[in-house]
Amino acid sequence: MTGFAIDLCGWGLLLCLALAGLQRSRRWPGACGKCRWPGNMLLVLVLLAAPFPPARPIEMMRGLFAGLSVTTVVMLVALLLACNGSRRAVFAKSEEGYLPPLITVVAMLFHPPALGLGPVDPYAWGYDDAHVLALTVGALALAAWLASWRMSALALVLALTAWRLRLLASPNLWDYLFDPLLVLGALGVTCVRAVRHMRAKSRAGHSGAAA
Amino acid sequence: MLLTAWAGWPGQAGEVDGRFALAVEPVSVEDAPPRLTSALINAAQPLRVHAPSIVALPDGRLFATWFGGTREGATDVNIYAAYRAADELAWGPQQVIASPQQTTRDTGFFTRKLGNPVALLTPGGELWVIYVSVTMGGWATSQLNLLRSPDLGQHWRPASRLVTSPFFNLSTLVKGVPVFFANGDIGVPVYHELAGKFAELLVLAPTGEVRRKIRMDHGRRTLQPVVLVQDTRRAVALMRTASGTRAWRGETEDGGLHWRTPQETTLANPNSALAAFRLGDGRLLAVANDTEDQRLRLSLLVSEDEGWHWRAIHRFEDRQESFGQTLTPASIRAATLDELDRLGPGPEAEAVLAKLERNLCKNLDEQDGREGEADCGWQYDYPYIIQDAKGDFHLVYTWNRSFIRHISFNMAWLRQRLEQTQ
Repeated sequence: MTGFAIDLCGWGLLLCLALAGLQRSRRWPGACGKCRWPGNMLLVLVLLAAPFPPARPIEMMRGLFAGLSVTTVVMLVALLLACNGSRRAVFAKSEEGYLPPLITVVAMLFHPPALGLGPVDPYAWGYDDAHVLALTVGALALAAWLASWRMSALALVLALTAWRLRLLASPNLWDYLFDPLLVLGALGVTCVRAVRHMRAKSRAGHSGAAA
Repeated sequence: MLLTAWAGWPGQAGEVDGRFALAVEPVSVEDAPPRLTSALINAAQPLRVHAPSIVALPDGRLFATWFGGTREGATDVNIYAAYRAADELAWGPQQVIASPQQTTRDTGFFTRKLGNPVALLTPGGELWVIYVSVTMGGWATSQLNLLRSPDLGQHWRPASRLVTSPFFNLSTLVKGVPVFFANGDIGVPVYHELAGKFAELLVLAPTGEVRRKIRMDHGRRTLQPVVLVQDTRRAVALMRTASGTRAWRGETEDGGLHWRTPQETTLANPNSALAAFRLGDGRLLAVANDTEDQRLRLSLLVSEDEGWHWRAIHRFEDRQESFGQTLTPASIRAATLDELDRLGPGPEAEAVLAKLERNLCKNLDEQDGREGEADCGWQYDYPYIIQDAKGDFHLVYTWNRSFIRHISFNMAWLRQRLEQTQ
């Protein structure tokens, strides 16, 4: 039940952010500078829970993408806050820069063996004998806090707490820490940044040659 | 920091138990005459049925479950179940216990189609059915669901979704008979089919929560494990091959926590499910398609060396002579007519024959159901075997894609087969 509520909240936030992005774009009529998140959130939650046969949209999203991790939901809240206020108040500059590639790298190391490549299954480390993993995550949260990566530290601590309280259907700590949607988001941001960086470099090269 | 210490503090979750619970020896009737009986469990509708499992209930009844619909993978496939009263031969009416719509409502996850169910009786006396579901794609994207009944199937609690994979919870399927641990945990043999193909053991708490998942293999070679417990620490697993022509064998010596790399056995396997059972004297029984191609034969086999070597002691089904031949609906009908008496109680003969033609023959003219260029072939597969408290064995399998056949035999019949084939 709490898993359903967390997923509803997460998908609501995600769609709310998408809607805010559209509203801020110039193509959208009545474009505004900030997210109208309370109204948008209400609208999105009603739509997600509405009965559209053969299933409610939230059931459709959960069926297709499975449950969201606690970290993903915390990051979506953070993005919504950043959307409405100062980004720097939510994410440290280094956190904003390094977190997406870091998540991508961890996922690239994690998912292939977890899906059967090789004899070691890192997903199994997240089950009931996951104390080593839990303490490692705690240490990472502490390190993140000390490095002023406050949002990452908060996400990790909340994920640990939710895991201990068994708030999701899964007993596996990994399912609280990240999910493929978070990874896809991080991968997308990393790729977009890389492309922008290459374009900027190429433009700088051209203007240098012209000079 | 305090939160971290609290979260990571050992001992808050259930302890991992590396000891199997040993099966209770059945009450054996020594002077009973050899007996083998047969029955068809399901009705003539729906058209296609597959993947049966069976469990003996404490009151002497049998409970069987399977999936059925217009075809495997169709969205109208439901999970069906039926009971057989103690000492009866015929099965009671079938009933739907799970549908895609019901699963969506119960779990909150959209479900498009259903697949293999496995029934089990927990040490606490609950009847469980674990079944496969798919939201999008083929069987490789399956998830597992759990149905629980506190009163042996009179009432079912809403199904719950089991989270078993980190990648959109994709690709865990179930087929084998569950095993039990000394602490009450339940070991469900499962397998993974996305990217790799390998056997796993899913451990559930008596409350139905996933406790852990243990990889029995990796790579792309094993499917549908069957775990045969030897003692509290040791067990052998037989596995369907995903690529070769022989069944695989794995083993554990620490109560299933770790498994040795599987090795090939001498048991031929055409990439087809097998069932197995450990006898009280240590010998292993298997029911399998012991061929390298197609599922035309279903045999009872025995191993006296922990599953390495096998010899057939009985053929439950044998249409091997039709291998490579083109059969027509008329020849299917004629051959089945000879066999109808041996099938035992079940649907009317004409319904059996009509269903068989539809399911076994490709290119049947849809207008009148008569043969044109139809190409037909037999199929016997997906065996599942258990032993009840009285020592009788109950085998269920898919009979020609059309019916769930139940064959029951006693220890005297088995002993006779073992002696005659020495």
